[in-house]
Amino acid sequence: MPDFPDRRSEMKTRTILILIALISFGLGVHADETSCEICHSKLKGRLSQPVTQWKNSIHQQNDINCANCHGGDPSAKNMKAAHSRSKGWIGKPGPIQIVKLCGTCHANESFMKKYDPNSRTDQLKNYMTSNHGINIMKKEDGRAATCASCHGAHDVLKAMNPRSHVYPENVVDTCAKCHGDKKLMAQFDISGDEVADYKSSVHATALYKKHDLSAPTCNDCHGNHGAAPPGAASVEKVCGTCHVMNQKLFDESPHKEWDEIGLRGCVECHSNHAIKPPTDAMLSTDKGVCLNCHDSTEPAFKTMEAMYKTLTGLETKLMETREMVNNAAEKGMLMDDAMLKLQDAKTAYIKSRTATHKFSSDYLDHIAKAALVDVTNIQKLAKERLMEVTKRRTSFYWFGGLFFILLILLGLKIRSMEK
Amino acid sequence: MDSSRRKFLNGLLGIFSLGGVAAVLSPLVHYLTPVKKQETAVSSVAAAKTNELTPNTAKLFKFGSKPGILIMTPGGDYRAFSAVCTHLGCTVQYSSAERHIWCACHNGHYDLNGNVISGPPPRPLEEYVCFVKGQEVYVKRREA
Amino acid sequence: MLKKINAWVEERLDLSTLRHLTLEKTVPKHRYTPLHLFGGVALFFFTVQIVTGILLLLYYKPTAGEAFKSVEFIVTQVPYGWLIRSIHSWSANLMILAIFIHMFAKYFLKAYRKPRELTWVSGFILLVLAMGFGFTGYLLPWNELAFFATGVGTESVAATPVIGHWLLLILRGGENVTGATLSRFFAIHVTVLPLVIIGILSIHLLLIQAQGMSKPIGIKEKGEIPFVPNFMLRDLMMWLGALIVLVGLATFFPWELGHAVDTFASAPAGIKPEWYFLSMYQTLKWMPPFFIGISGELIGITLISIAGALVLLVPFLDRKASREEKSPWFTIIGVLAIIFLIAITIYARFS
Repeated sequence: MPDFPDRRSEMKTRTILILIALISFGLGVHADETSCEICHSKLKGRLSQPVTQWKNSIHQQNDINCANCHGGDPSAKNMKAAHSRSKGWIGKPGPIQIVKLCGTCHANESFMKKYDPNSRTDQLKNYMTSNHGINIMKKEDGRAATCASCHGAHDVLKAMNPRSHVYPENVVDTCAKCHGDKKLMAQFDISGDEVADYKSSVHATALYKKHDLSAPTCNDCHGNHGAAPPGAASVEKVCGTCHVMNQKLFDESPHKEWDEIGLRGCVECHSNHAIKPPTDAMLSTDKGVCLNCHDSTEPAFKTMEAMYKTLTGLETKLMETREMVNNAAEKGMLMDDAMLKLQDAKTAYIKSRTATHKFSSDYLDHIAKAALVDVTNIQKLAKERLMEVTKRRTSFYWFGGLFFILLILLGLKIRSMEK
Repeated sequence: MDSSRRKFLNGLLGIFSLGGVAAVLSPLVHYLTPVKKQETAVSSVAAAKTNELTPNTAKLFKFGSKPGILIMTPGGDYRAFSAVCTHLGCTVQYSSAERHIWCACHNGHYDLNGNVISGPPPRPLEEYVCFVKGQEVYVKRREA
Repeated sequence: MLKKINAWVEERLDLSTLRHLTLEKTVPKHRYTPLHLFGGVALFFFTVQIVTGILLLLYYKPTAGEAFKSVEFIVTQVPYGWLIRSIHSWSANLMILAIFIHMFAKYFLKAYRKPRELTWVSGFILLVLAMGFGFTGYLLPWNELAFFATGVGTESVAATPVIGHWLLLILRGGENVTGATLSRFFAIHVTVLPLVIIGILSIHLLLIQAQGMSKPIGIKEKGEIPFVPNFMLRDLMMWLGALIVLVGLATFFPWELGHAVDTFASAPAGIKPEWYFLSMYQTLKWMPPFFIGISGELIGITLISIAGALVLLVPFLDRKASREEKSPWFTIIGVLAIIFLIAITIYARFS
């Protein structure tokens, strides 16, 4: 600390210090800012955007900066020196370069472990097996997707960050950038309807309406880095990762050998992208999905008919019961216990619907029996309550009648008194 | 009006008045008679007797108008959850073999903290607080 | 025997008032006489409230944890518990309705004029107390609707200048509606209000007995009828009719129990107070947030207080009536007030 002789020189020193501070601030000389940032952030549009996007990215947070991918000299003071090829500057990397660049770090286990011990490093390996990877790396076809096509070039974020391009609720739109483009997809013999179909599906409803992040998006069935359509044999296993029970039953069913004749498991009845909430009508004798393969002479038709009857019968009964319970509740009876049992019946009903995947009417009837027992019990309870309502009302008629007569007698009494 | 008619009217009035008084009093007397089944004290629910469960078993109980599940873990402590599966609202059960909670409808599995292990459920089960008082295990909703 | 008992009592007490009441009291007979019966109807409902209220107390538990369950227990397990609870709720509403009819009947007959000013004033206080009963009782089942409606209702006292927040704290027993509020409302409902209302009601009835029924200005009398038994039997007929209607309503439209309070749940849509608070509720709702720097709520509460004060002071404002002259202006204002109250209540109910 210098020793200031008097107030005047102290003021002077202070002014100079403040000036220096102001100038350096104005120039943007900042300890950890590279010259790339300083210059590019002052440029317009396309040339400054990367800086803005990179800020707040996972790379920026971990001090991975421009030069780590683009090369060059981030400490150089002028443009030429900074963009020097001799310092490894590569400009905008091409598709193959991008994949390789990302791979230098992301396929390096010991490097990635420094940032996240659980980090996976198999993305590049998987990518090489995907249709995207084969097109880019083997066929050198730049139309396919690279790492940056999905993750963004500069605004790379962790997958579970809601602003990330690959966050569950965003991933469909990310894929749609290419797969929603019918012209582009036609070049690859892909219909291009998949995204629109998906958006009409029960899975999309779960994802977008209920914000249920466990609902499958594109990558949950197709894989992400190793993206490829699942083969016919693996469809039911893919669906089975979530719909375990259905898969188990299906495997016990006469349909278990479908893949041997080239049929695609679940997809044959439920379709693939546009999966709608299943209805009993899928088993109906006029437009059931079974009719796609079976005709009315086969025993399978009988099974379908029987299963349809059981399910719709159960559903009608359940609705009827719910109505009875609601009716009693509307008439002022507390029906909490019945509602609780109704919950059990609903469980049994949902189980019955799952049970159809064994394609055995006997098995379904066996499962549905539990629901029927529940329903009968609830109906009994609801009837008791409704009887109680009638009893109360009847009592009132007697009560009201008695008092009405008393009222009239009193009137007569008054008249006779005042006559 | 002759006195016999008047007497008749008074008689009728008397009889019906008695009837009226009886009609009012009888519900009151019934109301005052203590009920056998006494109500349980509750923001908490008595889910089970302490001797009811052995380690690695569970039982369902009524929590409001919804089912709850009380589990005695293999380690011997009590855990309670809402028994309504977060997938489609089926009632879950305890699987002693797998030592965790299981929903039979679509094979959803939850661990003993209510978190989803596998299957379609999107969210964990709501966990309740358990405590033992006397011979009963009580369950109540978690305070914020 | 009767005579002996009579004499025994007479020796110790002066029974002249009672004798006057039973033997000499008369009611003027004219075409508006039936309008006098509504006070009796209100009194009947009040008696029903006392009886059913005491019965409910036998099973009700005034704590946040147990209140709802205990009411649920009453309506599901206790024999005729559903009836008692439903009657208590219905009777409360019918009582307030009867008081309103009674009040307007007396208003249009100008029965408040000299010398019955105090009867009117005490009657008005009884109306306010009855509404207090309604407000505090509404919360006691500790169901969702009551919980949130009480939150809104108590919030409006906070607009009172200077002591508003303090009042709110006193009323709620804390910053929010909690179990403490329930305890306070319970105490007010079953001890404070009953004590006060019985005091005021005694004054009200005593004044009526002392002064007799008023005669409308310029109405031709068709003589007098004795209070006992002729008028009393008419009262009795009204009560029997009221009882039939009450039990019928309670049977066919059992009062809803709703859902237990879940303090973490967000308020259900369309929270509205009981019908007799709707006009005030709507007035407050219509106020702008601020008007020349004063909060709209305060203006609303001031307006309501002024309206209340005007009703309270009617006997002193209507100078003409006190000189036994007709006061058509007051009749017109009364009609307008009825139309306004009904219209605003219907609007608030269905908006």
